[in-house]
Amino acid sequence: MADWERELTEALQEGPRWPGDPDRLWQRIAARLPAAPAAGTAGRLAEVQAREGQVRGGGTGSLGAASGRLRPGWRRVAAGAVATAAAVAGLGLLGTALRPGPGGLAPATGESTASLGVRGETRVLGEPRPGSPLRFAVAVAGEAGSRLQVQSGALEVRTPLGDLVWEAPIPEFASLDLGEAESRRAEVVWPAAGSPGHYRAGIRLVTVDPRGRVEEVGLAPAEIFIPYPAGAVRLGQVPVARPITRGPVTARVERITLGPDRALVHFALTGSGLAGGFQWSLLTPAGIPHPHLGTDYRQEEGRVVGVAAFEPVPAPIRTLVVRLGRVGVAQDGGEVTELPYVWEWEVPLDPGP
Amino acid sequence: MNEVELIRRAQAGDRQSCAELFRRHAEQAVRTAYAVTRDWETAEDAVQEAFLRAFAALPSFRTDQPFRPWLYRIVVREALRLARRRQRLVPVAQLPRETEMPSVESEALENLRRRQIRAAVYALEERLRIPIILRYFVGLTEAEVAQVLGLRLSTVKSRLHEARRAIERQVGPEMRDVPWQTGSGN
Repeated sequence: MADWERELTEALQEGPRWPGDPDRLWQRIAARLPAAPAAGTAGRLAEVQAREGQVRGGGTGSLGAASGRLRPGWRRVAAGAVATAAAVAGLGLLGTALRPGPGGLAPATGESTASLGVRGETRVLGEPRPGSPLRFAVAVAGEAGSRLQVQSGALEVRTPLGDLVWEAPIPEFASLDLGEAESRRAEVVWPAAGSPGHYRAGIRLVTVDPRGRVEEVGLAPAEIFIPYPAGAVRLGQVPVARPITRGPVTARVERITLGPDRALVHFALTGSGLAGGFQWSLLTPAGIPHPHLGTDYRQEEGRVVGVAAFEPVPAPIRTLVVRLGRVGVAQDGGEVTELPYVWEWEVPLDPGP
Repeated sequence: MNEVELIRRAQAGDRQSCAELFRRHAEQAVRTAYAVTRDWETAEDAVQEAFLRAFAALPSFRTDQPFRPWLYRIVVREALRLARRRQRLVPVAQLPRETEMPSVESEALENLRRRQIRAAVYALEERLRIPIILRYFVGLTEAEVAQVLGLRLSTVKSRLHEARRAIERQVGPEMRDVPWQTGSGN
């Protein structure tokens, strides 16, 4: 091992120690272990899904907080997908150019991803509408130099936070033997897409590699946006431009842009040693969090400038609370800690008198 | 008891062997998950789920294969899944500090340098940080890192190289003393 590699290894080995308790973590695991480890691989998808259901129902901390956000009106349908053997044309995975959907819009497409010797692609066909059937084209293909057995496959629709809202098995992906450059395609129909908002649809496969190892892989999530009805959400721009300083960090919300498909919080952070991360939230005055879609940022001239995106703001909401927390800074020793502060702005959305 | 025997007993349903396997790998698994998630609570949750999945899949594990890459593949995947699920926490590469702590003691300087290296690693973007952690903290070979991440070996080599350059930019030129070794995966 070269000197620099040894130096890097030593530096990492000295790194932050786990402050938790191994025995306590083992107790959490042991409580969920079956009497004996599962034998065989049949029904693995069902086992995994059952376990995920346990996690969602019994999570702690932020996991639990995130788990209770199934949208009202969403149904969990175990079966009901209509999967056909019809060939699905136009999947980029198969080397064909993508085509616009029937409505003339570019279809939402999960990028073709490679994982564990298999590639997948998910496309949304047509324009999503609340309560209407939504068709998906899905495809899987073997990677070069690999041979893989697919035990079962399913299409999942999840919220941006990962909560499962709908799933259906894909019969065409059951008991497949995928060699190099071999592929299978299918079409799946979500019988009744529900509430407006953002979702991700992706393929989940249970695979067995040539060494007999069973893996569960998620592939090719495609973004879906089910539009809100006209007049249902607020539109426009709300200037804020008010800096708040807590400890070594000054945060400034420049403005909030209220759009038909998302609400954007434009922000800038300055401070010495910003590191690790930060977290933006958008809440009603009653403290109800608004679903967060993602945050983009860039670093320029010693500050972080970015945009945090949330679901559109319903029209009846008149005031929003913008909150920043979990801001990390590097200590003198180089370790990253989160500051114990909250930066908060209360923003009226109606024009002043 | 050696690890292969432990795994065989765990495969047969011996819960004490499962517990021992967990104890042998827990600390490093959680620290690895922390390198992905940057949050101890999320790291613990990831390791919890990873071990549950590992124990469920253990009957299909072949004991003539190395256990650690198999386990860390699950750990990293769970950590990534939970980190993305909790994506409201936005990772940010570390901005330069205005001052660094001066020291005239050589030992203190060495410690400071290690801390700087560590901070530089933790400030790397995810696609560079995870290969570095797996290679130099977990101790996997480049080929094993490629297997864990589902990447080609050449991609792993390229990312390790890019990561090293990024670390060098943060901590100074000493890491350039020895030319970058592309290595054979070991």
